Amino acid sequence: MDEKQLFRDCLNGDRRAQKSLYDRYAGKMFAVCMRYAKDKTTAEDYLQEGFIRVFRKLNTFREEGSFEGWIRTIMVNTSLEMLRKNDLLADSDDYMRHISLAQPDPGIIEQLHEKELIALIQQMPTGFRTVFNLYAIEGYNHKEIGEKLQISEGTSKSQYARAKIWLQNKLISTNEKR
Amino acid sequence: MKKDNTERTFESILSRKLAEAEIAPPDDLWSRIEHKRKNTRRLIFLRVAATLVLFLGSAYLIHLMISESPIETASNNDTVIEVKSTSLKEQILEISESQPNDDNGSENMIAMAVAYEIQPETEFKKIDLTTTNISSDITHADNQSGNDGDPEIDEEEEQAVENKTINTKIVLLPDNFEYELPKEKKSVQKWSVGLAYGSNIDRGPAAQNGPQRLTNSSFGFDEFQGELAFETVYFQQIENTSFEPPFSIGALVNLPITNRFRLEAGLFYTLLAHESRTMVINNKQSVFNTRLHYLGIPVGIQWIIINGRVIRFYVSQSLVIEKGLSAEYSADRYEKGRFQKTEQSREEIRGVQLSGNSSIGMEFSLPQNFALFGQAGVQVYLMNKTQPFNLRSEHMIWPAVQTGIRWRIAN
Repeated sequence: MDEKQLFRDCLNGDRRAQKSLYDRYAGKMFAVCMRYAKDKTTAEDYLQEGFIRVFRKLNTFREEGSFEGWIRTIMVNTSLEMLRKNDLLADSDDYMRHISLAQPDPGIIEQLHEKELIALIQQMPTGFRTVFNLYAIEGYNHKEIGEKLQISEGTSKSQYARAKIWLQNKLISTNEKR
Repeated sequence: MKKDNTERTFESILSRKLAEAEIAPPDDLWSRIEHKRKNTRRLIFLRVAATLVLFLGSAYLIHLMISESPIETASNNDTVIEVKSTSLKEQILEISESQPNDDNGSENMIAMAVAYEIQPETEFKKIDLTTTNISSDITHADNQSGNDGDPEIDEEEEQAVENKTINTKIVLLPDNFEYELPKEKKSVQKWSVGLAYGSNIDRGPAAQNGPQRLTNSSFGFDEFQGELAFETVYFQQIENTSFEPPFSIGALVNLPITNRFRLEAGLFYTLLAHESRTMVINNKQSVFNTRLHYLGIPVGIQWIIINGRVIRFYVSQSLVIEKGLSAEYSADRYEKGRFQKTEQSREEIRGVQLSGNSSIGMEFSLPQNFALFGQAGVQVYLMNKTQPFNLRSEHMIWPAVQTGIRWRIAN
């Protein structure tokens, strides 16, 4: 079944189509949620809430763009909203010790499996992780991130710079353990 | 989306590796989603039911208000008699009123009623009524003219009635009609203006102070809140948040609709203030102060349940819409316990705050048409997510009190 037909069947309340939609996109969307959440349980909450919103807002989707892209946007926005409400950082001071002048080495990233990379991102402090995901993976610029998170562009930039350094340190230590 | 720089090696590798990544979610997640959707539908049903109850309740209140109004509106020269039946087979009563007695200035009216039966061969009844005795003067006469329903009246009497009549009303009455003395003229309703002070009663300290106070609350992020979140590692470094009691002051206009219902509207200024204090880290501490200024319009209805000469009890239901005028923020920086500097900022408050207030109140009459009032109830705040963090962000429902003075000024 193609994407558009699936969307229309879901819109008509076809339960089997809704399950098919879930089966088709749950894996990719769970990976998105995992990047924003601090752990797997929280990511499950994001995914659950995200799909509830997808089904609720189906009638707002215009069939001009990508259906997957639309679902992904809902997942990201749901994750951001739930992050604001519920998330806390486990260790507020720890990240300060990782600040150094080192830059991430793209070579090391290439060697890592996706799941390892996501596991590393999950360990980031919430502020770093959120800005990092939005900038490096979703492709938003700092001005857009500032508007989305209600922070200044400068804060977004500094959070991203710190996040990169944090990740580099983690990558180095992970590489050493291998 | 335009990137900030062209050198995107690091980001492009990450994006490529992660954009298409897939991780299998738990097997039971779909059933959890379905379960939650069902619960949501049930919640929607409950909301619709609650709305319906509210609508029917409002309709009943409006019905009560309408039935409060007399069927005939009294004017200076009218007498009002409630119409109890509209059957044409029943008697018609013509009521005339005489002029007020100018000699003694009394407002007592003498009502004269003449009753007709519209049956063929009708018996003519003339009833001369006074305010004290309906049956004091009843005479019977045969209809000799042959004109159905056109009774003959003694010419002298008719002339006398004609001379005295100011307004005449025809009303339909049942056979077993017993004349009721004309109702007293509708009491004069006065509208009033007032000044009031209001606040929310503190529900006590939150169960968990510190970061939970902010993270468990419902509020919108403005620039300050965003910066605060990042500076305090998403509020984790906030040790304590304390609120000042909300302060509201404003003017009210109170308009009577019927004897039992009054409409009240006003304009209120409200100040919401709180302080968030961080824990001491590396001998440094920050104190963040917030002062939010609001202008609100309450519109409500009051139902007077006991209407005494001196004391009056009522219940009121009102809707309040508030718009934030501005948010003043300051951050006081301390090092080793010593004050270092203050950073101040001011921001717009976007969106509106809606709330509904249900209260019971008491009004105590004072000389010179003044009255003191006080009311207590519950205020439910809606759309909290559109507003900066404040006392109302923590809980939707707050006990609310209002007190003030009203002045009845005119008819």
